Amino acid sequence: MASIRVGKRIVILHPGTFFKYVFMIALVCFTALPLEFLVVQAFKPLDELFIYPPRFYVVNPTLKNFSELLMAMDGSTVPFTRYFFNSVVVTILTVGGTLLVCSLAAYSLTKLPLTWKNQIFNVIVATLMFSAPVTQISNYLIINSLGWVNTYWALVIPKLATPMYFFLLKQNFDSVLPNQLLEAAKIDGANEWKSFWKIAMPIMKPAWSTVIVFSFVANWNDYSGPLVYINREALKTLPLALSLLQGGLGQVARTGAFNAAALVTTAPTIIVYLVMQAKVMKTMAHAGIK
Amino acid sequence: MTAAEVANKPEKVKKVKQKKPARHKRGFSLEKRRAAAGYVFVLPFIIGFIIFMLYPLVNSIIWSLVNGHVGVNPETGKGGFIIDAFVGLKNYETIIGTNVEFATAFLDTIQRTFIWTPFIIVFSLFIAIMLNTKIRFRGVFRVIYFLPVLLGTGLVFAKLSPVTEMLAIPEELTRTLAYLINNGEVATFLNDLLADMISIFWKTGVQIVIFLSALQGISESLYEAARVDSANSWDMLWKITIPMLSPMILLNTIYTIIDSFRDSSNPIVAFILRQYELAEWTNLTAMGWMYFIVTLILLGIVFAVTRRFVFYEK
Repeated sequence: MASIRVGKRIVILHPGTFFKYVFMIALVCFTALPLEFLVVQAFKPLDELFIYPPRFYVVNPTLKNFSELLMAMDGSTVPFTRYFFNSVVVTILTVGGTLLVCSLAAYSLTKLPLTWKNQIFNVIVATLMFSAPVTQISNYLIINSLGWVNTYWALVIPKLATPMYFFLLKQNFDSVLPNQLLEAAKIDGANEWKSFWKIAMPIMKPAWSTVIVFSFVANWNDYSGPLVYINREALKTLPLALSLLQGGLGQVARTGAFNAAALVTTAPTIIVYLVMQAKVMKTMAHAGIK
Repeated sequence: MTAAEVANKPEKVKKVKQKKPARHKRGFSLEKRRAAAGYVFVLPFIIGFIIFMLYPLVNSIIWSLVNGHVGVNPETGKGGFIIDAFVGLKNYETIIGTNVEFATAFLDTIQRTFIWTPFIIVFSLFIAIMLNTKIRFRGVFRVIYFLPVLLGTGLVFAKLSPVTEMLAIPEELTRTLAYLINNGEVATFLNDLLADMISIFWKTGVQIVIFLSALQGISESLYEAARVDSANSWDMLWKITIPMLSPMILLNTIYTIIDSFRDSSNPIVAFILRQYELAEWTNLTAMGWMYFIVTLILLGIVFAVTRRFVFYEK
């Protein structure tokens, strides 16, 4: 056992505790350093960006990359803020819609007396496996015949019924939501919608907060969807703007602006995670049944 | 029997009906009303699921059995997939018979998935349990361990690859280890595994969060009761935590396997995507279906085996 003096307090370190901290801090290096690198890169002046091997610190921090990003993206006709706006609209619509559609389905398939319950569940779970490329061209033809190419709908509607989030919510409804609580609500005269919205959803907050985080990250970072369905510049989303800045065929890479854009693109996912995480971790599951 | 008791015991409703049919004469019974609400609730999901998942899947089965191309239909003037001829399983036979690259990529992917999954599950469970203990700055740790999920996407991640390379376990260490063990096969296995450790850790973010939110849901009173019965933390781990987490262990195992099978960086998906660029729709769908059927069988086996160990709280 070792002890460390912190001010007037003496903290005793058990070997187990000591090992725990060392282990966890070592793991932090693997995940936090890349992020630190991402932040540092955004503030590096051009000459520092091209140093090899790359450095984890910046000597002369500058905001020039950000102003370059806002000033001009001369390969395109729309400002960077427009891409950001598109991403925000599409992601909010998708996440909100997904959450409602998937939790309603998960709730009724766990708590309500439907026939074919298990069959429906099994079919949905089976499709979890399918990798996107197989259905991609067929999906494109459907979106096309609905006239949704070059609209936000093409990016939102197909994502609403996502088997993965349904599965996650269903597992949680199964294990966390007590039947007695719903029955008590029914005795007090609540209808099905009220039991779902006022009783089940508040209790399931940890579960759907988790779904919000996943769905936000997946949709915010979605590259292939907008690439296939959107070719009007004014409707494109951030990941496409990033690839434009990175410099594809026949375009000049704008390293400074790209690094700033990478930070701007990543920041919202981290903010959403931080906000939702606080809610996820509040123990709510048993608040209702004691 | 009051209406509330009927609601409490849905399985007894039938008996009640037989004894006192007059009771449920008017309108819908409670059960039927609940079921009706259920169908309305589940409908949006089912519609979206049929249009954007089932229908494309059925389409892709048909396409895998024909010769055809994407173009404008001369009769209707609409764009779409045009079927030239029905060829049965010929597309499949051609791929199995002639495409060596496909088979190799296929086996690589399956092997990689089944070696990595147990490590990912145990590792993420371990970290989640540690994060759930009394530890300083656990909020900070929690946030940081999830970062790979937020960062591990296409373009931004590609930009970070020089950093992850720098953080990789040095080759000298693995080589020394291989020398010390002095057993060819075990050494190669360990060597590969250590080299993959970073990738494994980068894939645990989602699993850690799922475990953590389940851990938060386990009632503290269970542990208190166990402590009163003088159980130690090792007992509590095996007798309380793991049984209570078992639905989430199943979920995470399946998530990990699917995630690995669907990962666009794995050899087989990359290979199938190349067909997409070549506009080989019939080949693409046939390969996709072969891959799907095999992975579905494997997943079914995993599901059947692990489900026996899942404990559902009644």
